[in-house]
Amino acid sequence: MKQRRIRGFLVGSMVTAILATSWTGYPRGALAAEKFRIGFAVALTGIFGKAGAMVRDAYQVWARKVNGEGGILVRGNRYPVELVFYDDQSTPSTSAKLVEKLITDDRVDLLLGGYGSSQVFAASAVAEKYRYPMISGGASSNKLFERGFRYYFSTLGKATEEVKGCVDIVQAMKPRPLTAAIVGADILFTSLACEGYRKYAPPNGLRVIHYELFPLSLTDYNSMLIKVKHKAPDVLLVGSHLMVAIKTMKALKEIDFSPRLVAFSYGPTVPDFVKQLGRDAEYAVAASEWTPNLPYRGPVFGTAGEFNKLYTDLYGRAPDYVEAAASAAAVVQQIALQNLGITPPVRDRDRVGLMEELYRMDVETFYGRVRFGQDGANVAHPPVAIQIQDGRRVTVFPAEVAEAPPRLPFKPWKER
Amino acid sequence: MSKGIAMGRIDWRLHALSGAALLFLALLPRFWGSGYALRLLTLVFMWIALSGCWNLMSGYTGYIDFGPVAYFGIGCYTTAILMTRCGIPFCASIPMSALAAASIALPIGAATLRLRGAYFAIATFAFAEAMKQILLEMDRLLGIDSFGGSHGITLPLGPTNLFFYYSMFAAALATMGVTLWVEYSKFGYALRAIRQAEDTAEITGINTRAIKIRAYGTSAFLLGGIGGIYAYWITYITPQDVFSVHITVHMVIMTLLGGMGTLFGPVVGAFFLTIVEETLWARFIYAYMVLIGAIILAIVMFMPQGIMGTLKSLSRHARS
Repeated sequence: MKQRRIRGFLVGSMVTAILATSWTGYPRGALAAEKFRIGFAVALTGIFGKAGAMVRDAYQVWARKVNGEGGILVRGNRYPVELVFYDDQSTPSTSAKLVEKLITDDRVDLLLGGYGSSQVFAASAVAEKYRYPMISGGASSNKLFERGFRYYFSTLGKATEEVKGCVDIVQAMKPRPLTAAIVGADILFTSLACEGYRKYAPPNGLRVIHYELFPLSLTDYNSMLIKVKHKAPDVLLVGSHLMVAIKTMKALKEIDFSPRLVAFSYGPTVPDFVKQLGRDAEYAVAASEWTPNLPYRGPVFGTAGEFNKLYTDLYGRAPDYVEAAASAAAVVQQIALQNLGITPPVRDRDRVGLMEELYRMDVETFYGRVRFGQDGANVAHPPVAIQIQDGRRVTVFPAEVAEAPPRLPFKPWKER
Repeated sequence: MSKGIAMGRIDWRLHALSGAALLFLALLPRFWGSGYALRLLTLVFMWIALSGCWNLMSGYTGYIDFGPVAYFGIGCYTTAILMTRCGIPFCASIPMSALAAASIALPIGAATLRLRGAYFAIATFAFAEAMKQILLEMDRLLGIDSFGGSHGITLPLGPTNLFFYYSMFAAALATMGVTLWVEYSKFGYALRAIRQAEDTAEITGINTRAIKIRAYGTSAFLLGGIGGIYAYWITYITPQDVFSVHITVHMVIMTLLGGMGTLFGPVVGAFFLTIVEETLWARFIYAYMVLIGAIILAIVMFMPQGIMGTLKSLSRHARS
């Protein structure tokens, strides 16, 4: 019996060894070299499915536009682009696996970033290991830039910087508000926004008299905000996603609390905000990094307005700033390729050069100026503030790009 | 043909197959260099190890544990904190993570294992959710800056894929090894007795509570170690990610598919589900969840004992 077992073990091992050796002969990577293959992993299902699909659309708009002109123009020849993408199911480990697949299995020439900080964290660690530059327009958590990575870039500013415009807007108010309350949901992006508020309040002469992070699952916003109301701050700054912003506005009305300024880190820029709140959405201020009326202009898409029109014609909806940032990421990578005269297939040393070029670049695009700091975040991009005015999202700050002056103070609920 | 010889034959084939599989997997990276393939297999090993842990406790005792992810998450956090805040190297962090998970599991097990059926399931589920909240709030409660709250913890960029391939391979082997021991030991016999008739087992003199706590603790010990490897592998962890109920659900489904309370059940289940998911998602991005659901439903309906259980009863059928 024992002999049989040993014999079995050996036979099994041999068959396996033969199978394994035959595997090495498998042909791989024999791909046409006359185009740029650009890969990305992004959430198409799961909790970030909707937002991730927006990022995919943003990359596809760019690819269609570039291919419509025959491809990327490098040294007098045009090379079309092909997008290779997968659904990371909103899961970090899947995102990392897919980026590895894109690099080692699909052998893409270049990468673009996905959506959501956790996913991008995992994915960019793989990109860093293989020295593939990864520019994203869908993740802005500060920690992404604090790892000392050389190959990760973002066209968005850091989450804490994004809300600067929302606090600076008090400069346009007379008399100047003196006190602020900061509340926000305790998840990565929104809590970083709250940190940003806290950072920019003192330089604007605001004293923070209340600071509170609450669980995202909080249902009773009224009690939380009554606490704030009792302290009577001049300004209410909210670290929010869309649902948090909507719930806050509803609760403010119910408890009849009207600070002189109510600002959100995210939410009012999404059309659903006005759709759900109707007239009650008026006067809400929100952070944004881009709006279609900004006076920006650059290669590929032309002006911000032209980009907006192209996008709206194609998908039947106006792009939000995350989509603009994602398209801009693709544009910036394209410009770097053209500057260096890199043609497909892109080699390892080309990608190292590309990374170095990205740090050197300072370009104007439809999305605004893009210049990457030493940590990979976009440092040239000014945070803007929008306000809901007559049901429209209007750019109100800073003054040099504003469509209309901000309507402040926030009108008391009883006088509306 | 006598039963003894038939059993001997099965044994013989099984040994040959396991030997071949082990050798194949150990040598595979030498022949197959693709980073993606390695990562995929690393993931398969991780699921084999995780569902193996669940099988160890729930498969053998019949106590449905809905909170194993708690110990996985504790392992993730222990390694992350030891490596980033205390400067302890990875290799030393892993056993400490395993111990941390086990030392929390013992009192929790002592309390929850008095409960049976749905009550035990709900208690363990609640514990895992509570752990998630505790880690989110810990820093604020204690006024420290160690756990990172919702910001999570970033780990240093790890070594090569090969390192994690062999680490997860070792984790899967360790889980299998413990399961093998359970399968043939008196301890395992006691666990099965608990599953079949706990009260009777108690009357015959088995200290069922001590046995259950031991199984629970062993499972948590292994889960803690696997969590530690995962944290270093993925480089970034948050409470939402590593205490996610989806991880528990995957462990349960994989074990159910493969066969509860069998040695190879979790292996077959983890391998099957990971590969099927991998094959389907690329082609049917939006429909694959439905397809996976249908496959799981079909297996549960037509093979209530899982793939291994069905194979076993088929071979028994063929012999008789």
